[in-house]
Amino acid sequence: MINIEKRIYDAIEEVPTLPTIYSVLSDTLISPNANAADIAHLISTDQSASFKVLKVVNSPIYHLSSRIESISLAVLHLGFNEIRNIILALSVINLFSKKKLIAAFRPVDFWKHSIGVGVITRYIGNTLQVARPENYFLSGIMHDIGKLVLFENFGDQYEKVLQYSEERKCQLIDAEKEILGIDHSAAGAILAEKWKLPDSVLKAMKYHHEGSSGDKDMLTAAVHISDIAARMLEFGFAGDDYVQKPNPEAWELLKLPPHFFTKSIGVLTASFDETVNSILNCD
Amino acid sequence: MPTIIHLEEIVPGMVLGEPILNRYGQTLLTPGVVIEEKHLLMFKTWGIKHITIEGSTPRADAGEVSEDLKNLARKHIQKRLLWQDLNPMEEDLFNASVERVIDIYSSSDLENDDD
Repeated sequence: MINIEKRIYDAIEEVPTLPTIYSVLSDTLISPNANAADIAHLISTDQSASFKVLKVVNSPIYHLSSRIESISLAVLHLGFNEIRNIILALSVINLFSKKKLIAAFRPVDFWKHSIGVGVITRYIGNTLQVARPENYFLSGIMHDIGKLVLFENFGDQYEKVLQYSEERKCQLIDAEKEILGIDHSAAGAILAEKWKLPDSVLKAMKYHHEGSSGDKDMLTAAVHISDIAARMLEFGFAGDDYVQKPNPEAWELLKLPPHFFTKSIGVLTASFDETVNSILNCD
Repeated sequence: MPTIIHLEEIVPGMVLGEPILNRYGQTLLTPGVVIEEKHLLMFKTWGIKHITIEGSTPRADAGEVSEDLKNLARKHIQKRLLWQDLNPMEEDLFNASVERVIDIYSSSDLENDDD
């Protein structure tokens, strides 16, 4: 087990680095002299990124009262970190969308599921008015990235994982543990560590399946419930057909308002459709 | 949010969201017109197959989803769940999912109609 984790850890050395815009943004954000205009200018230099960011922030999950037409306004309304995280999410999707996957595991379906989880997680963050909502969308997008890491590193063996899950009617995570001895939450956490993602995002990626990291962490609970919800609502395809029982602790911690899902299904579906269209450019 | 619907789905009382034009581009009906029984015959005569109405998901709103379709959606979701005995939050999520699956079924029906 430890050997496999070491192998994944080393292999991730070869995972392409994040686009420079993200690191430049991160550096700028730490700089005490950074202001909204600098950040907006930096992002605006990447036409396609700024176009997509504007599409994402205008989707109903962000609850903005009016349409945002410029990056500087987006930064003003949602803050630097949220915009930087959206750019990171877009970059990661872009990075991995070019990889070839097998027929049973199409990148478009994979990303649709992840975008679905991102949209629901962010909406939960809004509804509960959490303290750090900027990590919610990103964590949803990133939660399953370990599947791509495992697929990259194990290729053929990952096909066996898919087969096993279909034959045994179990979730991919159980098949991964059985066949590979490591699962995608662990692999995702290794990647998160390499990329120096915020701790809370790493935790949510690592414990999204259990639904609790043991320290009453709202973000982990939100990603856990959103993963289950995205599967039930048919937002994309996670690689297997099965829906696990939610961890009661996660429900307890979030305390979502009564009828949360039946009341928000319209907003969630519209946000999901819009975000998928703007990010994946697919019809 | 305006919705495009098929002729067979039009029910009197719906409000037109976009104008209906004839082949010469002349306006036959303007947005805001409340559809009456007599219009249905006109649409058939004019060969109109789709119109745009105000509002969304007319099927769900109109409460016309058949029990059969609902049961089909429920079964579809149930067979994917790895647990039973849903708590109230899970019940709510289940109901939202039934709505969503019915919507997916309905939109694929529409696509088939157009073929």
